[in-house]
Amino acid sequence: MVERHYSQGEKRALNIVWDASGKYGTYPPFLAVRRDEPSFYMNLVIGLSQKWLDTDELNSFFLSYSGASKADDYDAVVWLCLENWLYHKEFPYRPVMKTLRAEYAHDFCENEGSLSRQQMMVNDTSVIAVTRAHWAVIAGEKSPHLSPHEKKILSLVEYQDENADTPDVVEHLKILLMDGFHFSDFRMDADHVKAAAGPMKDFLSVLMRHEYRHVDSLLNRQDIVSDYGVGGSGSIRDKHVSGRSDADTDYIKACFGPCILSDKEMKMLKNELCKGTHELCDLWVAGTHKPSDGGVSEAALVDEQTKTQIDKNRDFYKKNFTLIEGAVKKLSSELESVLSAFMEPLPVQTKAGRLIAEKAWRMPVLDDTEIFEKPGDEVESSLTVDLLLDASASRSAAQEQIASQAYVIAKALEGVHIRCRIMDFHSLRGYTVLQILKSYESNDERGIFQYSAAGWNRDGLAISLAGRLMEPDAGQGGNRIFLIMTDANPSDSTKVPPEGKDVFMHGYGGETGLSDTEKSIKKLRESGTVCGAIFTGPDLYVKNAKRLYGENFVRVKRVEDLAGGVSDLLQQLLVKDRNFSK
Amino acid sequence: MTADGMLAEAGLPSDMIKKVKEFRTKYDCDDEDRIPSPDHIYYGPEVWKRAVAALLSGENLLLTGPKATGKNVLADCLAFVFGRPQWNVSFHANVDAAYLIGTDTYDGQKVVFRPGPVYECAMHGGFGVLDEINMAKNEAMAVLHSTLDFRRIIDVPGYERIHVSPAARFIGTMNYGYAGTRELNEALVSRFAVLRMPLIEKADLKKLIDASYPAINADIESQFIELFYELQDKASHSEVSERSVDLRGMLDALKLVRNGLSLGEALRMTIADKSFDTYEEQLIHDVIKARIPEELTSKEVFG
Repeated sequence: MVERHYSQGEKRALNIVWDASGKYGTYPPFLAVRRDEPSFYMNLVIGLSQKWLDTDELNSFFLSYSGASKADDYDAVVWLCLENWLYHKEFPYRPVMKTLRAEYAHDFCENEGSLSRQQMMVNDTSVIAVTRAHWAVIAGEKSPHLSPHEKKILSLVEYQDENADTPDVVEHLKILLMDGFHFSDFRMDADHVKAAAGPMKDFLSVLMRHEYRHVDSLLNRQDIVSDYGVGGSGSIRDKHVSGRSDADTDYIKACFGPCILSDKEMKMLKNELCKGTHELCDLWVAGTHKPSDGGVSEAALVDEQTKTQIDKNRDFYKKNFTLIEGAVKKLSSELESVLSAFMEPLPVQTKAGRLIAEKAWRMPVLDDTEIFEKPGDEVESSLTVDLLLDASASRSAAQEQIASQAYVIAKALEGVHIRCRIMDFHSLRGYTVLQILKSYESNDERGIFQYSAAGWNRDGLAISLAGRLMEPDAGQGGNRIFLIMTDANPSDSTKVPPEGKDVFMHGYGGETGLSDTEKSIKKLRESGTVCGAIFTGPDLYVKNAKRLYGENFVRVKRVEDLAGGVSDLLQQLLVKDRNFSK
Repeated sequence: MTADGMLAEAGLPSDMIKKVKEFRTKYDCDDEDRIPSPDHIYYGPEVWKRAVAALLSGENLLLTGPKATGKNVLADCLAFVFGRPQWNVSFHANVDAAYLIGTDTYDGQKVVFRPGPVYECAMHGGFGVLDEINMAKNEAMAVLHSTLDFRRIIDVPGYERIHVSPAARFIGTMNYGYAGTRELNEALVSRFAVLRMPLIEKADLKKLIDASYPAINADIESQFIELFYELQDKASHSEVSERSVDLRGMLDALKLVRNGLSLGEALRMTIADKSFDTYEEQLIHDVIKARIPEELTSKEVFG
């Protein structure tokens, strides 16, 4: 299960829901947001529904009629009824509800004349009439004329039984739909549940979560996957078991462009890394060169998909410009303070401090009293950070967010004059591909938006490869930090050859993947690199992250959390790196 | 409030109160101006008991905990009830041994030693508050090892070796944030008795507000208290920074209301607008709005 992306307005709405429910981390099935502007009162009501009612039971009820043709109308009237019940339930504990409710009612009455039926989210005239009457009464205005049937619906909407529990409330809501709209088909089968659509989505968005699965192709959109099929990926996996073909190499080249290292360098890397567990694997190191399809038919589609993803990454950045640039500033300033604590300050000469013995003669001879020194504000920086992004298909649902998070880190590090390189990795058709999105030398972070998730993640091999690429810089005498943004769930379709008495090949995943990744991290640490992880995966893999990175990982769910998370992580890493405490 | 009054209010056992009074009688204070007179008492009998027991036993204290747990208020209160002069040292990245112990300087004729706050505190038997102790580099702190452990000495290179007064105690404070911890050198931590500061209890927070604003409307006060915990909850889930969990700011808001602002305006100034991130400011404002009506005036709040 992966987390859905929220726009800035949706996130604010979620926070209002959490303010009311106090249940942080739970995601309601509805949010009241119109044109990315949350409705304060209605989100408060949604939060209160989570506070006072059993969420699972209530969600089951919402799902039970979501397949109905008039589901949007039912949603509107159900929430009207819930609003009424929740208001009376919460009011004794939160007197401000009265003011907020009245404000909402006034706003509704003022604006409803200009609202079209679609903007009011509903089609059913009786729902419109009842809604108007409900809010008019609260706003102290004249109620519109209602038919006897509408009056009956309104009386059902104004449900106030304070002692009711969730089953009672749900039962009442069913009666409301049955008596008010003659709806009684409360079925719970999956076919009956439809995705959010229709006019409701503009106001009360049904937030659906999606499962994503790995496919051994860059094509991970469901529509494209269906063309090539899971069977296709199965046959690709079989190929890897028996070795890589020229077609695989052409495919990788067409997708990622040429390998940026020389044949000799690649041969050395392969000889060193592609053995044992990785014997059936190959390596590829690419830049952000725009690939041509190279005559590979699938690559044309891949190219198209990559372009679409790049556009999505850029759009996400533009849409969340304030949030992202705000996070850059915040992280920069936090990094500045963290680094100042660990970098050696350059001394300045003053009139008080530690006496500089060799300059003491200047005092009697030249009347120069500045013969003391104390730590100054300037620090000496010699830090290099490498950030490796897991770009496997499991990250598909969070691609825009990961690209933005990497952008924030790169830009913030640049702001505090730290050399930084951003890379991503995938494993496809037996190749573990490392793509350099931003080099140390480049100040252009736009390459990071070329991040596109697909394939598998052979973490152990990718970390070893990234570690080897860092080594040439070790000679510069700086301190190196290696960060990986990961879901801590190594998994690859290319199998692990049998070892010792074992005659069967194993999949690269689970314990095999974890222990291999653990070894790679250990080796990297032994080479003098400080390793840490930014964990962006689900709860399920937190224990993996702990096992692989010990205390040196931080969990970051959203761009806004980056500043605190990354600065804390870097601080933790710097503390561990005794070289910094010289 | 007198020191004895505070001891009684703190909820300490009577034998402990007696020992604190004996401590006060035993050690004279030669710099009474430096004894703090706290505006607020720290509420929390358990914390008081542990802190006083540690100090009576000659231990130094390390107060750790997130923002708004009353670390500095407790440090001030302890110096006050023990009747000791206080030296405050704010730690930052560039704090070094010379800053703490003392520096060389030229007095017009010769190079002389200018004592630092730790030296002064040790000489005068004060309570040294080492604020945000984890902000300094551990190497800078190494100089304090002999001061803080059983040796109780400060050896000033090139000058003299002094013995720390038996009345002197050092109280470190350390922000142990929600998002992660900033580690303190093990050798240094071992020289302190560590006291993890809990978030103030609702009943104690009520006492704190009542003590400063006895006329506050009970309903508004209860919403005000809820607001504090909701902000704390939001910060603990990293939705906003710790900046918004500002108890002092909340109490200041009531002061502003008394001087003519609406409660909404006051909270905006003392809480929400302290965040310079517009998105975060909006989130904080939403939490306030969900509890406190914007237009409440002094008459309604203190009516």
